[in-house]
Amino acid sequence: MESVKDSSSEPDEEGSEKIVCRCEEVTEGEIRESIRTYKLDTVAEVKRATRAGMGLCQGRSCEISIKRILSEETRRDISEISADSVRPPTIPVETGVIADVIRGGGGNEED
Amino acid sequence: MKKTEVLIVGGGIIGSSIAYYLSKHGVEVTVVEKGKLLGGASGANQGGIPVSLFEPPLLDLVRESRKLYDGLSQELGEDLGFDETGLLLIVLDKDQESLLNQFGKRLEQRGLGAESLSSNELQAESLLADNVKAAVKTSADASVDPFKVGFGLISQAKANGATFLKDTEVKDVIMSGRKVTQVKTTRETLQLNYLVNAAGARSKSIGDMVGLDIPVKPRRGQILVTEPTPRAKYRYLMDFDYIATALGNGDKEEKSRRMKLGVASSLIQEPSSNWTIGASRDFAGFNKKTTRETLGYLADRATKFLPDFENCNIIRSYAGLRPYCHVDGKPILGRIEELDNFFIATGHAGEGITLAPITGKLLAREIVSGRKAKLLDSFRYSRFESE
Repeated sequence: MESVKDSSSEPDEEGSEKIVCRCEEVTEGEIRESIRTYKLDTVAEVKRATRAGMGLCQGRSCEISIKRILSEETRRDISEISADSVRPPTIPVETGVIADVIRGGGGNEED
Repeated sequence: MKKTEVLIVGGGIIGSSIAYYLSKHGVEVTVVEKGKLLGGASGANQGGIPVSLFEPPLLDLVRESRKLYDGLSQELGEDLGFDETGLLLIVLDKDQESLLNQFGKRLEQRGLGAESLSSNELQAESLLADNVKAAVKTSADASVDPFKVGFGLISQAKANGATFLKDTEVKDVIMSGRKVTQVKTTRETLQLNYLVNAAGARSKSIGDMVGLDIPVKPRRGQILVTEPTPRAKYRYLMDFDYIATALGNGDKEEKSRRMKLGVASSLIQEPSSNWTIGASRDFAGFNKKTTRETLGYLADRATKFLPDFENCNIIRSYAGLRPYCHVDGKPILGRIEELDNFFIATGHAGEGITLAPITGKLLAREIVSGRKAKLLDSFRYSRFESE
């Protein structure tokens, strides 16, 4: 299967149906279209406009592809396109684990 | 020098809505945004439209906005994820049961549907914890996908000829008597006929440039997002404590740390089937980082209502800075009397998504017609001067 990484450096209409974000099922075509419509230039904006990178993996698989598409569409080097800001947790964590921070009253009253 | 008829400061949901309704009237409009479009509080919320929580006169405005949402998906040609799910208001504390029932009765008197769930219905709802004491189901409340609304408004405004300039910060204004004539930005200077301050949590700094003291400061709200779960019957749940924390009529001498952080559950299952877990309210200046403590309280409180959340994965957290009017907590809307061509739309606090359509519609109407919209009369800047 051809991956996004293998696509040519020119905006490619043939790639439009290719899934870039597997979690949210966002295609390359949708991403390119929103970059053009809203003049997007960051990964965070693409995420807000298309949901690409908003799924379970939080962009760990697709962020590099989104950067590549952005670099093609905005004619900048990929190194100029910064990563999305980190929104904890960096890996999925159970709600109960997050709640544990405040459970137990911060002391040893139960002991 | 570039010239625009109306210059809107702020490319959030409010500025975008005003731009859309102005462009519908055929008015030429330019939106100037310091950061990215919808990059502030408009992109860091839950998309709730909690009609039942409001008192008149704000309720009148909220109801009109809710009506506009009915037809907005069709009007914008975009599925906005509008979910007329109603709200399930829940209490854990036996003491709050009678308050909840009174609240339900008041909703009915106002023509907003509300019915109490029987104990059988409560027990049949497997999602809810066994110790949930009572619940009232309302009918007027809804939710939307805030990004779809925002980008839908922007895309139609653009189709109607509106210009959006992002990464463009307003540095100063040039006045001629009572009129703002130019706005200096980090990119260029623009000439204008009308100026709208829709700069959200930063609207005070725009007011300062024209000598208006706008009593708005940033209030932080933190939110957790879960992995997708099966579609629930009740997709918008609210802790009855929310009414105390959100509307500020709770016990002023809060003893519990949770209530000090303004944490009370607001739980919404999005169209994508992820849940957002809100809500918190605290003041930390322009710091929009999440904190372990507040996220901890949010997570803990949510599991008290929905025990299955205990093992459900959290995939993301974020915080937004709500524009909060520290005098009375109400929005500040409409034309400013002190100046000839300055309009304001800020102080929406947690109700920016709820009030975006009616704010856009009425502000556009005031600008176009030159006449005051009656619905905005309780929310004008002039209310601060009479005190």
